[in-house]
Amino acid sequence: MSKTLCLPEDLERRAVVVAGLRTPWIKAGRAFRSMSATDLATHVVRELLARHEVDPKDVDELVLGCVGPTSRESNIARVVALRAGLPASMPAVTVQRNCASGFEAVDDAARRIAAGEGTIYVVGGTESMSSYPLIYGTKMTAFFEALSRAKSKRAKAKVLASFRPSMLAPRIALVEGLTDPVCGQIMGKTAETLAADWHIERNEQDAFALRSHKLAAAARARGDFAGEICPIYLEKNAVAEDDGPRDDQSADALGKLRPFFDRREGTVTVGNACPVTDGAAALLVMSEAEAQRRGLEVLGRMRASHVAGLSPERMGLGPAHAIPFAADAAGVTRDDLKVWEINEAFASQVLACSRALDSEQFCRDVLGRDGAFGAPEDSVLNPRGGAIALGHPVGATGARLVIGLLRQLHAAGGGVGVASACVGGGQGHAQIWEVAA
Amino acid sequence: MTAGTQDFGGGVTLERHGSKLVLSLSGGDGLFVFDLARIEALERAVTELERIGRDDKGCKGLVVLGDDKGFIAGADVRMIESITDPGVAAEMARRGQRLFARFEALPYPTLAAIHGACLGGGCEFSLALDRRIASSDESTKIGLPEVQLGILPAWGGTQRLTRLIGLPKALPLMLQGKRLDAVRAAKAGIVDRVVPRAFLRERALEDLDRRHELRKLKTVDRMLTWTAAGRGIVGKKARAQLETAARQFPAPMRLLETVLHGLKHGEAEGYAAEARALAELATGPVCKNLVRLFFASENARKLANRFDKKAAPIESTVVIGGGVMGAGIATLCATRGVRTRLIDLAPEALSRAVARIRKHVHKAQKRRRMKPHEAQAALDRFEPSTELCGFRGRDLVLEAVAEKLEIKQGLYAKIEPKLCDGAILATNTSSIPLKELAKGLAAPERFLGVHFFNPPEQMPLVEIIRHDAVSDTTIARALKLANKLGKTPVVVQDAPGFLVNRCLAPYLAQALELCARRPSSIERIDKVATDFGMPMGPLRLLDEIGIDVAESVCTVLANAFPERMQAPRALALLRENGLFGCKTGEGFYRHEGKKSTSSDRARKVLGTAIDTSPEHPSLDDVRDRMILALVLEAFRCLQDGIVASEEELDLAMVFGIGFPPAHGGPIRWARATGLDRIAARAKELAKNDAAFEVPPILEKLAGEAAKQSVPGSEPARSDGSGSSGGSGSDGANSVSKDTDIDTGTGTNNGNDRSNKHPTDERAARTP
Repeated sequence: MSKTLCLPEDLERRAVVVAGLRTPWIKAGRAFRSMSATDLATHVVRELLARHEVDPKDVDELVLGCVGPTSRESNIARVVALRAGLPASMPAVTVQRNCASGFEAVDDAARRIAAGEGTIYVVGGTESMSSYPLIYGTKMTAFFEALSRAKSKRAKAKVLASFRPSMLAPRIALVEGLTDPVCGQIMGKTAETLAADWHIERNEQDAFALRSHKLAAAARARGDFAGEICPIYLEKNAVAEDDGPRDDQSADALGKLRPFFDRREGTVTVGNACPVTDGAAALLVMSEAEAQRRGLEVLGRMRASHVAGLSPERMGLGPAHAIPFAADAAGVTRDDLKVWEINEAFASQVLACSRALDSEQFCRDVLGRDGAFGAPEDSVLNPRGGAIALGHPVGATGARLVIGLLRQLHAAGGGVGVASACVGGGQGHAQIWEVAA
Repeated sequence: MTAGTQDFGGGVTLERHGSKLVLSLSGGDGLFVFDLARIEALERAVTELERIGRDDKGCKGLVVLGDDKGFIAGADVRMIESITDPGVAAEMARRGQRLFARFEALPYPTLAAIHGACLGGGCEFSLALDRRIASSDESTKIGLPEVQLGILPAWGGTQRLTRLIGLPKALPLMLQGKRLDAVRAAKAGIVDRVVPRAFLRERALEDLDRRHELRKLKTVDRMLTWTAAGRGIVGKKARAQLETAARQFPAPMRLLETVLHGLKHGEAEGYAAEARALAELATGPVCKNLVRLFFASENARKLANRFDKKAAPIESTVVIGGGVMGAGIATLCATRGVRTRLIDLAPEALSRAVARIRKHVHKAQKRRRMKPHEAQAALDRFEPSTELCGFRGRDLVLEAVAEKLEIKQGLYAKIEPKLCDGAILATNTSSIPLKELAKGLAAPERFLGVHFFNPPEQMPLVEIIRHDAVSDTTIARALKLANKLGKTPVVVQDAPGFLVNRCLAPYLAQALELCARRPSSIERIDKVATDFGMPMGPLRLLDEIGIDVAESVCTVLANAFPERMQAPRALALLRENGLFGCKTGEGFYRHEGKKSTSSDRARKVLGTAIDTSPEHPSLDDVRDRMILALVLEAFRCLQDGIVASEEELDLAMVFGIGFPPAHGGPIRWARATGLDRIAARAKELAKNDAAFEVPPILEKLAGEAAKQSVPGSEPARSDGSGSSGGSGSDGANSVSKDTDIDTGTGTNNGNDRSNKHPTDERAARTP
């Protein structure tokens, strides 16, 4: 059965988030292509502590989520801790719950504080999908690039002629990574399944993707993200903004894309799925009492966190499985939730979640509830866009969703909200957060 | 055989280990160095070892072992300093040679177990033993750095090393005075084996039981060492490299000749040549000057103890201002193990800073001075940010923002409340008085100046600037930081231009005036300076500094000392015409890639603006004006108490602007030339230029020197000729070729970097 984490009332034992910071979210193979997941996280952790004048010696532990650390950084949290100048005497642990690893890191700190194990934690997640062999560093990348650029049949043939079987090796690693070993489906395929289950047409998915881009581009233009981003200084330039959201994204362009996972009859394209992305995010978590002692303003309090399990073929429905239970534990209903941050792995998957939450049948038969929980209003669902525009560095996404949720609630003058994500392998993770008015 | 430990005095003891012998060398509180007492102790020890060799045929061998601090750090430099008689020097060489020859002749296997310093005489000693093993500890350093003190290895080292590893490998080691770590020494073939420090003694004793296979030279090395033709090739190449430097530094060339002589005529002849060379070099002025600088820099390294023995080290810093200096300082700190946050409001500046440290680290990696993980760590210690925060846990905050009083004071007001307890606030100002800057501070005792020179990664000197309110602990901690960064510090008073720039400005001003009078003589003027031994001429230096930067420094000084300095008009003219020096590609010179030629535009700009006077100053005149202007200002600094001692002043000028180390620094040079002569010449020049007014302190010291110059006070000189200037080749007033500076031919475009001494970490650029 699924479990819910509820936070104690005791201020010494209750975790709050004091601050959060992230790198820009950059599409794989672009500005961060030569940076490792450790590099990204090191920058963020260092800067987070500096901005809040926390002496690294005061931190009890670093907890980082990461899905695909390279073989050189297997306990990536420890590598980051040492490189970021945290003392060698401070331990560090990497947590992995696939796409919810960032949430898991927060849960972990909350549990530790609740248990009285420590008082100050740096938590977060990091992912360099550029470092995944397919995307970067192999001849395969160059091959794909050349192939996509080749216009004429002759040019294509020429590029194809350069193919060598050895180029395939890294491809297998990535496919394995994105394929559920139990049900044998690649993630995009599970999104197709949900589209069919819930009757979500291609144009609906594309419309949702367009919405994501519009909202994210607008938020970026307003500077909504600036306060949570720590720029990364490269030799030639400073990278200070997410590069995913397209100001000029049109429905037409999305409509022209071919389905990627089911070439003939599919509805899921690279346009209505999230791109592979590099990024790292970190949060400063401490007991509420410690924050008070330090005179630090509390950004947000976690009310409850719930992880649900479901069949891996329908992993995208994870949020619909988790959110109602987290809300129950926090004692809130659908109408109390002012902002919903649901990770957009695929448009079909988020839309399916909405439909499921609105469905009395689903909520009764599958979740065992009396009636429908209720889907979010359009205006409160991912108001700053989501992963379809911004991207989804899997290990880090959870941390970004929390930062974004808290900042939005803060800007709205406080309230309760939910952050949730579907998880490859068939899980859903949801956290209910509260920001004081 | 007697049991137990035999003590020969001087920390030399012999103990038995079954049928093996262990000769232990202990330096007591310090490092083990060869002084007279220790040489005598080893002579007694070797007599006993020879007796054992005769009486005890079962003896299986001898291990020579140092203590925890090291093996043998070489000869006591004070002993070298004190030698004034060539006969004594030669005898000292022969005495060491005899001692080591006796060790070499022992009838049982001998082995040096090396941990820590094994340098100079210590290395020569180890070479006299059959074999060497070394501890892998990073403190292990093996080499023959004698040339850096202006002498040569004279206890057989030149001969034995060449024979052990071959001429082509041995020469660079000795000529550059390289210190090798254990692994590199093994690669070079000097040590046979590298073992963990903890097992050094055990492995050494075990090794005595093993057959020692003599290393064979590779065929190529053998040919280059043992055939006349091969030696000819190697020798010619080495000579070509040494040629320019040899004018200033005689030691490397003598060393080369000694090595070649020994290979040609046999070891015995080689040893004799070593002794002859030492007699000459050790009593010469260059050696004395280099030794004096050596002591001065040793003292500078220990300076922190003079202020506060218990001062805590600096582990992390914040550098504010990511301009050329700030970025350079942050790069230096991060690469030297100091965690550094670099703050600048402009993201572009931070990106440039990132590019700078990456380039620096990349270069270090390429040169094998840094391993990949060390390079990574250096980059991780470098934290660029636009946010003015992150002071928690930082030991020192250094500000390198624009040189404007209000800007700096405004910044201090913002950051002082954020500093941790005990943190230091430092400024890199080169022109604003510290007492002005300290005015608004709540805690001026923790504020001081730490003045780096450009580029900070390379320039070996740091001026630590004190003011009335600063605490000794603050000074001590800043000094410790300088040490950690590998810099030589000098503590100076808060006064315009501090020390280095103040002495430099009159020198540059003279060059500018000469150039303004005769704009066609840019290269000639610079050549006069490089002939004197400066690493580059004053006008080229101005290009490196940047015309605008130099102008503002000179202006500050002109305002402070209006009676003898003026804001240089020539610099203003260049600046107005967009000739900023290297950074814009053109100043006095056009800089294209690695080449540079004097700039036609600069000549035109200067030529049209300033009347050329009819006088044609002679080359000597040019030199006298430039060097004397510098030297006189140095005396004024002494007079004003800017710096505590002559030694520190000289060290600062050698490390700060590259005053020729062979001359020992401006004060030393003046003393060697004769203070009375300097004063007389200055008076002559002062008729037309107030910059040459003789400072009272010079008169006073000249008077004292005259009284003392009764026999024996000055180090004896071997040349003793009329041109008895500091270097033996240059005198201030030698009336040589009275060439007009316009008509002389030949150029020196200053790219000739071979004019460098191995020790020579000297300055290339300044402010």
